[in-house]
Amino acid sequence: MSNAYKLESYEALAPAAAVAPVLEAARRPRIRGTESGMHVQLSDTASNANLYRSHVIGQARLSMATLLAPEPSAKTSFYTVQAWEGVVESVEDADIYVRVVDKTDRSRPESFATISKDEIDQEDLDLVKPGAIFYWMVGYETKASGKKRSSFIRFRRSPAWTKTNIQDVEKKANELLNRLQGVVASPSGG
Amino acid sequence: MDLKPAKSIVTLVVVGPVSPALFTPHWFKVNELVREGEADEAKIQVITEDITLFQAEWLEVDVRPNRIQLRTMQDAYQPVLRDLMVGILALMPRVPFTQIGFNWQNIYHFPKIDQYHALGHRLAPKEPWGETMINPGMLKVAVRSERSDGRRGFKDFRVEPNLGSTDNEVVISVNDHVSFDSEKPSSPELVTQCISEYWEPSKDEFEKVAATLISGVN
Amino acid sequence: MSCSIVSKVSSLAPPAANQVELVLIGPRYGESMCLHIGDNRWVVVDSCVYGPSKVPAPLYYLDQIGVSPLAIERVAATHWHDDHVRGLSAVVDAAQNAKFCMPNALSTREFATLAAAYSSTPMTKGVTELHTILKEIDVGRILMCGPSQLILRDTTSAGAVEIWSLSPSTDELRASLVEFSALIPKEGEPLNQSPSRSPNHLAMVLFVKVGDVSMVLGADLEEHGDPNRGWSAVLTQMATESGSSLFKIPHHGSATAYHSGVWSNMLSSNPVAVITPFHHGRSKLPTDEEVRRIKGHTEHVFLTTPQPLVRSKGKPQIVEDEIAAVTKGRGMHHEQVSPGVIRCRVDLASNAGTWDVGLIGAAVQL
Repeated sequence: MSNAYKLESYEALAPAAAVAPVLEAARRPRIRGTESGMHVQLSDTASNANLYRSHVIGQARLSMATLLAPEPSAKTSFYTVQAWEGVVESVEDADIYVRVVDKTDRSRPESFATISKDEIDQEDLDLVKPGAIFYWMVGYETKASGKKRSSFIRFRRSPAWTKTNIQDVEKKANELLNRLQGVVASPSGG
Repeated sequence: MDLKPAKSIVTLVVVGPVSPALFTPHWFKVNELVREGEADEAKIQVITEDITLFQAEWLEVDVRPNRIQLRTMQDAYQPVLRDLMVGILALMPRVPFTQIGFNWQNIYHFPKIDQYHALGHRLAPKEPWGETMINPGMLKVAVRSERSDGRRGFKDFRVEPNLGSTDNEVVISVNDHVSFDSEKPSSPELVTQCISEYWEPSKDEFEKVAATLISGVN
Repeated sequence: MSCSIVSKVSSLAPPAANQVELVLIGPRYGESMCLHIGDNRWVVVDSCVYGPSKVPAPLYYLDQIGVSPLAIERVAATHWHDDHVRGLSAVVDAAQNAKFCMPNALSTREFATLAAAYSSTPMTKGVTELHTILKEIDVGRILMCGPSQLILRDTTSAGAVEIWSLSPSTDELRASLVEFSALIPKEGEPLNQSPSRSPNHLAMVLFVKVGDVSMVLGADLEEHGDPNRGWSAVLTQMATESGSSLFKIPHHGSATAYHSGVWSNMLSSNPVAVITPFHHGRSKLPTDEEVRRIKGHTEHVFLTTPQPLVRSKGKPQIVEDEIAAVTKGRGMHHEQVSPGVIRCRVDLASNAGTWDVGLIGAAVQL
């Protein structure tokens, strides 16, 4: 019975049949039905990971009371033992000097390390610059083939400065300057 | 007891008028929101004007005409998911996003069935329900908390057993909802600022509540 | 002789009303000074933080000796670099009776734009700190400083007090504005990255005189051979002053901050020289070579924290293995929990201008 709730069962349906109830769900207001005899208005921001499944599975006329936790859809999972968030302090040749904050044990002080560029994914190399933020995770990766130790370093992909952002900055700068108008140089005698 | 979750999931939802058909893996790729390889290998379920659903290695994307939803079931990628949403919103400076939902979910496997039932008895004592029911069991408990940060919204905490599992599984979750409806115009900058500022406090609070609930079981 | 006693300080106590005291705090990265001018009146120069609690170092030190932040009369930011201003907004906020002194270039449009652009940059607080201060402080508390600017003049039980800023020069101000403009982000550049560090054109050197004793607090001012900038410009205006017996070595003892004229024209013979380290990326200051050069001028050289980093340990084996596999050198390090502090005290009435140097924590005489 549990297989019916997995995402894979949704994929197994013919595309038209799969999409139609979902599209209908997308258009309906988000009010759940008759659990416990009460209508419960769902928040607009509640995860709908179950919602489209429930409508698909509703076609099978199963009890909604059994539609609960989302089933794992990822074939690979990563269990984190240690997480750091870091910033690049400087890059010199192939060496990246980093400062990291321990996200697993926040009582620990900032730490510093040198990492080789060889450790960085090819697709992140362009992001390695002073001030760049990255995440370094250590843990266990579980795939179909089994469980093994793993770690990855991943750089934050920041959006680029837009014209709007720059206009906002200029506005903030003007506000600051307006505040400081009239502040004179240090007079004699302090 | 000190039981760590077997799985932690986060779903980040932002409400605002968008066009689902825009949100293709290719769009994510050309805007450098994700790695090229992740976008190239994404599995698309559907992309239409009304809905986009696809999965990448660690990511599930679900876009409707009124919301963008990103989800990851790998806790290591949680901050990456947050950054991704910030990156998406930065590309839409004119869209009036009005609500954010941080949906945290922990799945616990209780080693013993007695512990699993003990949580249900603790959160939903059966005595007030009288003698009529036969083998009553808790289906779901939901409690709403107000926000302490001065913003409109709420935090709906839920505890429910996963009846589809045979591993004594319990799901503790929260819909941490922030609304900007009363703040006009609500710029994407405000929304992204809130995502960045509230992310960790939201998660910390959820983990605290979850840990408190679990610790009450012996 | 400028230095009479060097001792290890085991318990902290505030200075007497008639004593002048300069305290230099310097972990691996960052520098801060607390200056007592007499009668429990204090000046704070720059700020840094250390340890997990991230309490600003000057507030922490003053609290340890029972001094309220309300006793601070001036808070000075010698320049805008991250290692000199972390925690400064909290210091300014706590020191409600203090004027805030900063180089006048920090009140320009170029810097205001830079500060606004990076005001919410994660994991770096330098520009954020100054932006916060400028945005929130009562503007009546701000003092803009340029060369030959008087910051404070008064009389205490310790003597007649004068504090002057000796830099940045006008040429340096112009150079800084050009640099700020270059650092302001442009359309298309990635958001949320820190501005890269630029040379220390803006560093504000302070000259402090109390009674007959004077000291030069060198900030991070560098020298590049231009008579209108750096130490050359300072020496031009300080032609008539000399004989300072305490020198806070500029820019962590780097070669680019050395000028022989400072030692011959501004300082007494054998002054007390105090240094903070700087470990950032590959850069480790002071180098052995520069220490030797400084010791050629004075035998009284003190360093706050000679070994600022210690090896991080205590993680699960899978994590330690991963650190060893991924990092170069000897793995991961963190700052010493208690960095060194150098306390220089002089009692003008009894010591005739010679300093008692107290070494706290990791501080050493070189």
